[in-house]
Amino acid sequence: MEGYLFKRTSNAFKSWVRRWFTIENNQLVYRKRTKDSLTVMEEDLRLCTVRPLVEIERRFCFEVLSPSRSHILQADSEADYHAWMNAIQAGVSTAYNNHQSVDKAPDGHSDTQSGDSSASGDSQAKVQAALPPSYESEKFSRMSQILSVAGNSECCDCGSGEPRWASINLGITLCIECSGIHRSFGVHMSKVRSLTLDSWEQELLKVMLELGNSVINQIYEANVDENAFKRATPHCNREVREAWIRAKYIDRAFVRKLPRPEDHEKPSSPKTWSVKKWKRRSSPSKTTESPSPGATGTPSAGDAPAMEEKGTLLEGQSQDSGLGGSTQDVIVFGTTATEHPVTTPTGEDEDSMSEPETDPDTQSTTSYEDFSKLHPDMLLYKAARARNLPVMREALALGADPNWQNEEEHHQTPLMKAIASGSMVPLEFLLINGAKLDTKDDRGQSALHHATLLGHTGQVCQLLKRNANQQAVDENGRDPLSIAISEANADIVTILRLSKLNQEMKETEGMYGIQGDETFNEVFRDFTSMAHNAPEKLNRNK
Amino acid sequence: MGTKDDEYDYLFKAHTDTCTAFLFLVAVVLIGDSGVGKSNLLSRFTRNEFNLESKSTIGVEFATRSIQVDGKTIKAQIWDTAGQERYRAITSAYYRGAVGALLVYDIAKHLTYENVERWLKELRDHADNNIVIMLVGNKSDLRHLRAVPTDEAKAFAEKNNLSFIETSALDSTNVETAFQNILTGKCHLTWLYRVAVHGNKLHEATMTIKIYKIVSQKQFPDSPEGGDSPSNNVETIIVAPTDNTGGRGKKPCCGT
Repeated sequence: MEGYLFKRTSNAFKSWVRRWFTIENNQLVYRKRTKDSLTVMEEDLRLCTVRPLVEIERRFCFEVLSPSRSHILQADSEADYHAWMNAIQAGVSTAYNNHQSVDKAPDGHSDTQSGDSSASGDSQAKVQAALPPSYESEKFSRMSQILSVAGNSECCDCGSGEPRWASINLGITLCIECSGIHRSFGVHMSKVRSLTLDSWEQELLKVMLELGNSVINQIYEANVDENAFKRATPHCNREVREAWIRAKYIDRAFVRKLPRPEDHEKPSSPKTWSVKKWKRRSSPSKTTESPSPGATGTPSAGDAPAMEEKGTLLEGQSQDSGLGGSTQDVIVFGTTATEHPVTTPTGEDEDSMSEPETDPDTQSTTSYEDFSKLHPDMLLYKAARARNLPVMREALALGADPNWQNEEEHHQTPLMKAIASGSMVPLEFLLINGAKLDTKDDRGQSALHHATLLGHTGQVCQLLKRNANQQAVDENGRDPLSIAISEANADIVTILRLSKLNQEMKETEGMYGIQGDETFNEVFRDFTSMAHNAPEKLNRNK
Repeated sequence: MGTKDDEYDYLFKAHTDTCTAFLFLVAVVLIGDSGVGKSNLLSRFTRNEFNLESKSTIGVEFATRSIQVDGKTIKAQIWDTAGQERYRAITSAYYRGAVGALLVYDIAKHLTYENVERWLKELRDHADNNIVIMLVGNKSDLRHLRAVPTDEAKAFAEKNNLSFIETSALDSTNVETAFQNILTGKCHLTWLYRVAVHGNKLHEATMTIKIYKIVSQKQFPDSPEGGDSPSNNVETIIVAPTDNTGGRGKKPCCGT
């Protein structure tokens, strides 16, 4: 089903704009004109309902309701009106039926609608054909990138082929059945998205590309007692699947524990640890081989590489295998997992934007910490600075609190360390894993203060997109804007002021649109994509 | 569809009920070399203030003011941008959504007038094709220091299809007029249409017909619609990007 509908804008003006709407793959999408890019209005019609609207100034209006939003649409004629209502409703029920047939999960909503599925199927085929090729190819390239990450061609939990869903905070791909179970556990555990249907921000895509099923299963299935637990398989029943996923991610029953400090009191044991820093894959020749040059100049230079060369480091848990009887001084977390070669989006990488050359710390690992300080919170904290997503994920699996504050370092949070890394990727990863935006350190500075001080434009956008509080002042009474002004960082000043203006417009004009002002959103999109694709442009001051 | 004025009357005046349903929001951008007085023009217009010691703008500053046009309230959102190169943000931020631009130079500094060409180029590269541009010679109070003759600037403006005015933010001369002109030019249909959709960008004049239909839809719901695909319902209305008849001297281009 496709055609023009009027849509009432969600801003204060309640004006009506005409858009070309299509229902495809159970999504309701629209665009201004054929060549324009798609906007997804509702990404999953399964969650929506449609109802007629009579008490409104226009005729032929109906409302599409999702759990969080409502859209008011107007058809051109009564016939169109009925056709759309039916098509959306059919989409709802088809989607539901599909889901049910694979899921076999009884659900209370099943009686609402049925029977129209064939009609919707036809229209879907038509819509597929009508989609502009660029959209399809972008979708395809994103999907093939994600699926090419180690282990991602099979469902992370049951091993089914051709997974088409993802858990973005875990960084894995899933089959439809397992994704349903993930979803049932709630978004704090797993945030499920479709590889084929949903729109993906670049930073999120990068999060996915740096994790993947192999990495995650090395963490979450490190110690599986096959006698005690029944593994989920592609054709297992729902109970087995649910029990497995629960044990794996909620109980974290198979995660290997960190070594306790007392285990390392033996003279032969390592005394310190650190986290390997993520390296740009574009850097020549170091990507797949064992990374040793990073350790040069460190106190334990001779030892760390030796350990790495054994090739036993899996997810920083190598200490069990690689150390026996040797005189290692240091354990480096995440030496292999970060190096696995994956296809990366062309035109990256945003990491060069912030502190590539200016980073005084050119070592390949974070500073060395004593073993007494080896606990999940600290591991997450250090891994965030090292921009090492696998180790960050592992720390979370070990129970790290994403909002832990390091008392020894001004009560800073992992989020602030991710800011210091200069990359949008660990920042995104923490934000989708429950890190709070506005926590302050003991100098009264929030993550937004830090990003502003460091001149990390892309990160400022990321934080403001999530409504970070820009009124917050630090101990010197400075808010992020005054910092940006004194740093004379024109881009960040502009972004902060624009965001402030947007906020004020919302308040004074009563705009309640979730999306906010379109201009504001577009500027932010520009800056974000610049941070990904042309970071040098943002790095032009001084 | 008749002349632009007819259409304006039809859309904007005749359908008061429809038009009042909109809150008109217009974004205008101030550009020009550093030190020509953009920020003071803004503060004069929005707050009636003038500051002899104003500092260089970093990035962009915003101010708003509401004005009345034909009984409707128009909210002007003015983007005051940095003139100085090193304080300028990435330009994509500035010109997004702007429907009008005041291109300011200093009548006492010839270089700032020479650079108008460069600013025009920047507008053409980054702003909407239909943006309405007014050339503003500021600091007209500095008569004894004048370096840019009014006639020369006027001729340049005509050649480039720009409106033209000389202002003084210091003694307030023409500041109101300049902003009024850019904000209310009823001959600028593109502007009207964009206002009607809340100041969002519309890239091509062809989009204007769609807004026309939104308005007419309600009035005459039974009138036949165009086709139902994006490609075949667009009737092209050619809208001149700027008004080249108005703006001579101090006469507002669109009159009352």
